[in-house]
Amino acid sequence: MTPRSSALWRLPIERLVPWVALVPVPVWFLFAVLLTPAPAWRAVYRAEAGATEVVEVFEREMSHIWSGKYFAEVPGDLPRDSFVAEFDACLTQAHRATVPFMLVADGEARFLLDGEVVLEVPAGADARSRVTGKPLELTEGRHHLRVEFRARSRPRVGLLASFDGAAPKPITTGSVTSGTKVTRPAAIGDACP
Amino acid sequence: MTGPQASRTGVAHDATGRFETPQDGTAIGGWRGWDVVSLVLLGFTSIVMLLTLRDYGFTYDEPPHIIYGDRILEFYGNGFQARRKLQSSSYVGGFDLVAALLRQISPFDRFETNHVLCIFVAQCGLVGTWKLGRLLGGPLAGLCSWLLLTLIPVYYSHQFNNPKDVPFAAGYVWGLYVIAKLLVVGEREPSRVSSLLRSPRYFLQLGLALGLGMSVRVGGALLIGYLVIALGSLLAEHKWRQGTWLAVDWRRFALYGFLALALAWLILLVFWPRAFLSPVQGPVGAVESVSKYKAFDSPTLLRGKLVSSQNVPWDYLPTYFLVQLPELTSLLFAVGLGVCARETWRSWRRRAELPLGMLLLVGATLLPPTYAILRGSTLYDGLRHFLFIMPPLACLAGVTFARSCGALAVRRRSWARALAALGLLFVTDQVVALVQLHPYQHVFFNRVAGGTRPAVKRYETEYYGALYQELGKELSETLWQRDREAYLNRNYSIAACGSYLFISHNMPPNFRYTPMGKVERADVFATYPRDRCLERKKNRPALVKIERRGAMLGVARDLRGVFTEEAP
Repeated sequence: MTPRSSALWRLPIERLVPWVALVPVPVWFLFAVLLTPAPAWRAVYRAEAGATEVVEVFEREMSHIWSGKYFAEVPGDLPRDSFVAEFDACLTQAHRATVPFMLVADGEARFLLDGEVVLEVPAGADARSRVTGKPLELTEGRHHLRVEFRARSRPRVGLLASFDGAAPKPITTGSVTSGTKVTRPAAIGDACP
Repeated sequence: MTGPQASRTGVAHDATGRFETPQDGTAIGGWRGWDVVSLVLLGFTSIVMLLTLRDYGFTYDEPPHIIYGDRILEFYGNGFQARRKLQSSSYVGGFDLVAALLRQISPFDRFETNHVLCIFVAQCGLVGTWKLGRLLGGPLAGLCSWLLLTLIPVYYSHQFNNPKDVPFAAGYVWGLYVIAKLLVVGEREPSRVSSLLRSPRYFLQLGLALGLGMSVRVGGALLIGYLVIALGSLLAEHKWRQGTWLAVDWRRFALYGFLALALAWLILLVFWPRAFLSPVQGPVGAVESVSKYKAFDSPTLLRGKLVSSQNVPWDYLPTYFLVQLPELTSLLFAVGLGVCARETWRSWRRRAELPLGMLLLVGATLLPPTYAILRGSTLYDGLRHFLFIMPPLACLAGVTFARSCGALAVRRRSWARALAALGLLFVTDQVVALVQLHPYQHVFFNRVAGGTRPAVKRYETEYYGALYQELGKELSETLWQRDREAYLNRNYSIAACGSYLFISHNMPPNFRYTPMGKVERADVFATYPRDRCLERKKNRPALVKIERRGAMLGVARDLRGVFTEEAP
């Protein structure tokens, strides 16, 4: 049987070409939507500390800039330059490691690791001292990451870490590196036991 | 008439218009194996585009389009209450609205989600180009058209992060394909024209193609003009050659034609709040303001001189096409123009069928830039705004190449082989260029311009700001590796040319954007080539350089001399 007379050769290949070219992108996107873990950072926004009315949202990354029209809007119609927010996530560490962490904030912020304040940007810090960081010891197991933030004018806040020796990046959702995973706390106040 | 026949394309086809497997060298372009090659290559390219998607940074055009998409979505969400800017926007938001909808479910950030949609729409454009080339010249012509378009570097990288020019190119080529179908049927089987003009399916395709073409730029209405000219030419040609008018059911044609235009209009309204709120006055006002567009005046480089974008010399566009298209593509296009002119003249003299399909490609390629030149339109960013003529240009070049192969094979097989070898050499050369310039293929300049390196000072190269992604990553890594202790406890002030988003979005939050007016207060100056920014602060030591093919496209310089030990 020559190729020309084979059933394969008689297939309407020209009709398959558009499908072969166009299907991969939507299929890949669909898989990404279905398989990407849900945003890990549980964020609670309030108009002021202690306010009972809260807006709870889930975010993929611990890095926000609220100034400028192209950046994030504060949820719940809270004023952009006057609100407080708490961000919580659970970090699972497969091996003991020393990890450099950084807290960047325009406003007042502190980072708590397993309930203990380890990094702090005080209110009224000058431009150069709005960044603070140090290497922290992470034992094997789950850890609670919490950032508390009080906004000032043109607010921003970010929690960064370097798990792979490269420059610190904002802590995101899912597998940050092999052996380190960031997941969502079960509820407000969950300390990631 | 059922047996195979040879058309002027040199490809055998049967009465249904399907191309037959060739029996001899004359139909080399009709060999169905080319479809298999197309299948493999188009699928492969789709995968490559997906795998390299994240290498492409966002461009300065994207943030306004993201906001625009969000506003359109908001418009539908709040009972058609439009903000003032939305009511007066001349942009049709077809791409932007779909991107805004995708963002509702996307796990990626706004720009990456945009890029996913960009490459999908770009793939639609590539498939449209393949289909148009195949329709006009057979399977080899389809393959060559697709290949020639894919291998135009400036077009290639725009497919990833250009939310208007490439989507418009995709709509444009599909519009041309539907119009060309009519012409090809008229050329091969005039008796079928009347049945095509009675076919609801054809008019549905027409309405969709016109609507989607216009849903990115209102200038897509150009396609309606092409359609009218194509139909008029077809009817006039038939009358001229046969002495009788084509039998067309005019009442049905008028009805279906009206419905197709109504469908196109409806698509336009959905994507364009300005037209939604004012269906006639809105688009008319937009066309007027677009054609008189003078709001943006930016210096733009041409042969080493900065010229005002509102007063560019007439040869601005022709020069950019000459130096940015690959050499063989330009040559094939020029040959295609010559062949088309000769065939038209010969057919005219013999009262034979005119090559209307090819003439459509010529018109679709040459008319828009000619109009822009004659009107003295505002032009900048090289040929970016005319990327939409690349698909028909590639089709004309691709059909020319396929026909040349067929014609040479008839005379002597070895000549056809030599041409094929030249084609392979060209493909290899262009693939090397695409790889070496990745992901800034739009900075490609051919040998006529002396390559990319000298072009950086003479032409617009990386004007889009996509390189700040790589520059930001390299800069933060360099500073981190230099002094980790210091890095953990300080902000870096970065002055940069272009949008503040280039720094704010591409760099960690400990890097802060400083406007160029306050550059003296900054720690680092980061830039791309636009506005001759690479010439600034040249006496300061470079921390990071982004280079491709020996050309420096971006640099970050240490303004205070504290991060580098080297002498300025």
